[in-house]
Amino acid sequence: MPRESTQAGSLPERIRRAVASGEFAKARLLWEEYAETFRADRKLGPLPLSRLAEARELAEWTRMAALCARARIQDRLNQIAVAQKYGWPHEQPRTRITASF
Amino acid sequence: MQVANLPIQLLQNQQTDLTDKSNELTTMDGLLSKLQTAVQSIQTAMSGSSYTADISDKTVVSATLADGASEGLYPIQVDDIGSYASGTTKADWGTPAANATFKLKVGGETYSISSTDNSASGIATAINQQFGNMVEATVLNVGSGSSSDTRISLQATSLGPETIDLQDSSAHSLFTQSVAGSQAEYSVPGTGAAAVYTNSRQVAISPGVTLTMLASSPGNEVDVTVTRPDSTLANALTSFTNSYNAVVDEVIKQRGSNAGPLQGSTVLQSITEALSQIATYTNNSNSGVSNLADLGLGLDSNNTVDGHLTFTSLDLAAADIGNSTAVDAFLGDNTTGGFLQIVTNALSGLEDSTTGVIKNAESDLQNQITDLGNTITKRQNAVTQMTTNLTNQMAQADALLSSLQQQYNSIAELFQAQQTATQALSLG
Repeated sequence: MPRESTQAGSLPERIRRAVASGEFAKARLLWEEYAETFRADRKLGPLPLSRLAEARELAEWTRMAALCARARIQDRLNQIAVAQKYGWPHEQPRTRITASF
Repeated sequence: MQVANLPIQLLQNQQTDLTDKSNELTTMDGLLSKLQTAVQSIQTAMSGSSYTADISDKTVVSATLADGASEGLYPIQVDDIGSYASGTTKADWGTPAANATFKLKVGGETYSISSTDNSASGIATAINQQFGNMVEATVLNVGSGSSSDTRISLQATSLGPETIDLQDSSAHSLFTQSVAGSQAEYSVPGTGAAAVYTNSRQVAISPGVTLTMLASSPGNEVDVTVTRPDSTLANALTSFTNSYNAVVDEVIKQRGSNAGPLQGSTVLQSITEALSQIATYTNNSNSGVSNLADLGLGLDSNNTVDGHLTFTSLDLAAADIGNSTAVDAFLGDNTTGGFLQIVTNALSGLEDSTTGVIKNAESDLQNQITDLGNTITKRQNAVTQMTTNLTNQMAQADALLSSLQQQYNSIAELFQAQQTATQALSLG
């Protein structure tokens, strides 16, 4: 079965996928590209306010998702440090970080 | 990879346990090695070197003792120590022609002498090399002052009447035999046996006991008393007892509360069985020496420590005086039988470099420790890699958050500028 291109979808969708999969460097580049579309479209004419609302909602979602992921990463790093010193608590529920490359 | 799959601490704990076992095995190995050495010292104490000979007349006889000797009284009467047939060449040897040849004649047989050097020393050397089993040749100068007179002396290598001659290629004798030679004669008093004539002054009078006749002394009975000092064997048994008990002590440490790392191991069981086999050895003999207790070696009567041996040297002395042959038979030899063979085999089962239980266990443990070390290293590397990845990911999340604010602000400013421009147009 042919694989779906990772480039498929609108920029907001691609940003959400990148953030959700932990590809923060990629998400940052997409956000730069996203902001640039606003500047380019503005030169063509007035921008509808709905696009500002879309950008605001996407920014808030990105911020929350990144902060949550960051907290989980920090948690994992702390667990590794403790596990190396005292052993790993096997019964502890595992958090999950997904990544795609 | 999940961190939960990396119980590095658990592996390190296993490695520590294995290392403790390995160290304890090394300790046990050393103690058993000392016990082997102590057993060897018993073997040495049983050998000929531990015996001494007391000779009533040392001018007539000397004695050499070797393995197999037995305590006892060995009387001998040396009637005649005999003589070796001997003589010298008739005249100064001079410098014979290079192509001259010579022959040696012993007991009617003639032998050609092969030599490229016909000087006196060359011929003597050739005789010793080719016929040294029959005669011994030496060169001597019987001249006086500055005049040299070189002769070759020949002496038979065994006692007894013998004819010796040195001839040229024409069978002319160049030699004068001065001593005809005679056999030695000795007898063993008290046996009623006839005198013995022999071609050697060395007499193997008993296994491990060889007497050398030094002088003729007809009618003079010489007593050779062979004994083994009790102290030699007693010292060896004391050393054995101490070494044995040291192993027992180490075994005891592996049991009960605060037990050592070998607790419950098959190796410990093997050591225990070997110790038991040693301590309970019996030869089912009626000789009076059938178990260790008959030699003064018994399990601790005070029972203060399980399995300890105690040694009472007086009991050994009594057994040795009463029946030294039975003591010898009980102890035996490390290869042919008896207690020493049992102990040697039992300890070899533990200590043999290729088949010994302890050696194999030590090797196995070392392999396990090495394998665990490799696994720990791999897993530590994996954790390090995971930490690096997570740290990088967090830095990228931080960079995104920082950039996100800038990008959103630029968009918001764009709309703000658009709104300001629209308001300006409507006011205008």
